[in-house]
Amino acid sequence: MSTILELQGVTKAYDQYTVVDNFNLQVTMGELRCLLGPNGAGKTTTMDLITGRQKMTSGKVIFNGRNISGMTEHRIVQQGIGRKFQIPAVFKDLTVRDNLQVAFTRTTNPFMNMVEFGRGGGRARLQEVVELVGLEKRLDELGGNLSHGETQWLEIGMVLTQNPKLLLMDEPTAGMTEQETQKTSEIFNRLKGEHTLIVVEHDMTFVREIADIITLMHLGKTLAEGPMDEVENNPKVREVYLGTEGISDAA
Amino acid sequence: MHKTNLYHDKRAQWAVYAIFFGVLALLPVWMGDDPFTLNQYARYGVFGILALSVSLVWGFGGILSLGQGIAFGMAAYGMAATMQMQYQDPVNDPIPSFMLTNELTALPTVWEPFWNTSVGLILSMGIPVLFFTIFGILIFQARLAGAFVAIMTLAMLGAWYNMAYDMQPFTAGFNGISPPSAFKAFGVEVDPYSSMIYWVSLGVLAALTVSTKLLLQSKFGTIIQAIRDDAERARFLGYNVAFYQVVVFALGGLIAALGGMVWVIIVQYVSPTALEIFFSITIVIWAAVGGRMSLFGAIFGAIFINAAQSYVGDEFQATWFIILGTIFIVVVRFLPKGLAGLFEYAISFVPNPLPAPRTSVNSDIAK
Repeated sequence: MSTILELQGVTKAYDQYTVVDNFNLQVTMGELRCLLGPNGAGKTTTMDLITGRQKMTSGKVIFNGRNISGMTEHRIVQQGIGRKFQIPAVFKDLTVRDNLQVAFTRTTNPFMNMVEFGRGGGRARLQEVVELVGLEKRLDELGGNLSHGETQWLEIGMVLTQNPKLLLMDEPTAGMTEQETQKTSEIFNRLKGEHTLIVVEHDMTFVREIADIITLMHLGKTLAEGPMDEVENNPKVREVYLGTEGISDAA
Repeated sequence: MHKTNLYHDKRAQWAVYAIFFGVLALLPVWMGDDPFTLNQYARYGVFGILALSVSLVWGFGGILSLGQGIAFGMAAYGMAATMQMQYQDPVNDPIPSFMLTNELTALPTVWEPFWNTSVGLILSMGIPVLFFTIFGILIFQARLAGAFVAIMTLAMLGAWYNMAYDMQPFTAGFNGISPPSAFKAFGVEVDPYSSMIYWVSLGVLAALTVSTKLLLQSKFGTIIQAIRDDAERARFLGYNVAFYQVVVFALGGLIAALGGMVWVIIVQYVSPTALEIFFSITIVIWAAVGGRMSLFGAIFGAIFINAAQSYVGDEFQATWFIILGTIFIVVVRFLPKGLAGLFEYAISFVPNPLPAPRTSVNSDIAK
């Protein structure tokens, strides 16, 4: 299996405070990686650095054999990286259908899109995604009228419509009911293999169900990495979370 | 549900356009050919064009431009120069009289291209678009949005106003340029006091409205609304947000520029008032009152307010702007989507009598 994403010594520092500190990460094609860690560990910042939303102080991000550090956000996305935000972001004044159609990016060129009237391509993809996330009956609803859970689904659906090689999911189950969370883990399990996923999550039941390998971050560094049981029993982890019930509680 | 409202039915929207423009086209037949009324109504057409540009740029593109007057004014000066040079004689009388009064002894180089009417028309249209493209790149590459865009466009408008005012030998300064003869093209003279001027103005408005409507129904139209809602989300779907915004801004400039050109054909006059800050803000008010998120609403707002101004404004001369300001405040506070939004709400109680569209995009998925 080949490496699809590699972070080499990635660092993000504000004046005196280093949020991500010489962080290294290797993700294999088709795997589902969970990024864990307490608040302030640098998980979301790491996602920002991968997607170019924040500029890194030093280090390199290599995606699919290509150095993407320093590229603009839309260029990085066009390489095949999709992202779901921590605070769900959808287009509130557009219908669910239009939200998904905008996410179907066969071409991103404005002039090409002026003569694109939604016929042809995309229809099959839309059908597939809508069924997967269960918004069939909500297609004509405005994005702003959806419930919190539905908004999460829509955003996941949008990222899926993009069909990226690598999906970055920042807290995809936040605010979801148990059943919804269960359904999300089913989807994620179906996605891995074909897609590569990096998931930031706090729900340990969810993580247990989906993760191949966990990377535990602490103060911007890797504290431990490996399968769930191994990380849980790691003495360093126990030390950091001393007095607590282990990572499950900290998260 | 959202789509069952007749207001959102595309077929109903096109039908409204057809009826609206159809009725307006026949207006001269019914009301006779009082030249002053026709001239007056042709002016309303230009106000409609300007409101249309604001609706596209602000209502759909989310860019609050207070500088639509820049394109309008630039194009108006270009058109005035074209018409002025149609009047001048290359041999006997090559220099416009206002330049002679300003002690110029030769025609300025920037005026030379306007000897040729086609070149003059292309420049009147092209220079504003080019300017809006460059200005747009500066604004949107820096990811400015909201009030910052409004302030920058306003400041730029102020700069152009002063330029037109100060460069007296080239622009006739405060007095402005009044070409002595009507505009001629393809051997036809467009008499500004005739039904022809009315149809020219209405024709341009109708053509621009239909083109803009089609543009908004394309995927480009959906994407710019997506960017308006959440630029960051759109960016992380892979869209070059700044590129889209520059294109929208430049298209808005093009529409306003065409308005400026028609305006000068109608009034045979241009002065720095075209570049006045107050005028550009007024355009935004028309669109806001009518409904910036509806092309038709914005056009209606422009015509409605101007008609009100000429009929009611005569009675309340001094207080008209207070009335206008009050209307604006009421609309912003209680009707964020303008009169069109009020209509949208009202008609939502009426069931859509049209059968469900069969050919609409992806309608099969909804089942």
